[in-house]
Amino acid sequence: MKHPIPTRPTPVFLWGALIPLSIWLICLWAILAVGCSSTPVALAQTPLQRAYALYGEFVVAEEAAADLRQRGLLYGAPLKGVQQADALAKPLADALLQATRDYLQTRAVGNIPDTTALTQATEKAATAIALLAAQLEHTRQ
Amino acid sequence: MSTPTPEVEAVAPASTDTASPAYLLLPALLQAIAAGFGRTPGWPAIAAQVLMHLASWLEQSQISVSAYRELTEQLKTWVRDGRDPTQEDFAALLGRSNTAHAMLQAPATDPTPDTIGSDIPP
Repeated sequence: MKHPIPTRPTPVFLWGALIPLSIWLICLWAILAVGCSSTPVALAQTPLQRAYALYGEFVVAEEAAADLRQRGLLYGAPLKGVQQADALAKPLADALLQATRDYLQTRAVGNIPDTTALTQATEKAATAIALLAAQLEHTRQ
Repeated sequence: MSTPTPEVEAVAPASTDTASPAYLLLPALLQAIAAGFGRTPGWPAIAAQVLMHLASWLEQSQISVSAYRELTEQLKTWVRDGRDPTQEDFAALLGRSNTAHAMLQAPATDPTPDTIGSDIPP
């Protein structure tokens, strides 16, 4: 039995063009999706959210580095570089955590906390954490 | 000249005016690249290396990507709900940091793989 509407199959040469074209479109979409999405720190709107986002980024970097080392993918000079950057960032990140504790405790007793100490701790930690992230990124290249 | 039957018309190639020159060039270009690559000596080894690097990169990125996405989603939720992280939220992060820090800073216990390349000057 014949089909009532005769279908015209897509020519082979057109498939040859459509497949790479769709791959390029997917790549473009992925680049745009990554580029347009905000970082956790950029999303944060309060000093506490900013502190959490920054410390969270630090933890993600530390966990990624530890995982790479565990699997034997990070060793030698690159490992030493990451270890040094982590050793520098950890005390500053923990100082930021202490500043958030003070902030939350002041707020818990009904006082209005001063954001200066928290902001300063965030700024200090941000530089060291950025160095760690850069060091880690460098090992992947 | 006989009129084409519907069956013949159904499998006939589309007229060239429906395909732009770009569509025609792309497959030809890809074919040329593939043919050139195929003639390169040892191309299977090169292809295998590229695939291994790609797989390794994807595997390495997997953990940090998912943890980063989780953090981003957490922030988005708090911003949307207008709430701040609590002491417990920070404590959870500190616990994870301490664990990762200890793993990262632990001295190498065996000759491999941490000592591989350690004598190479930076």
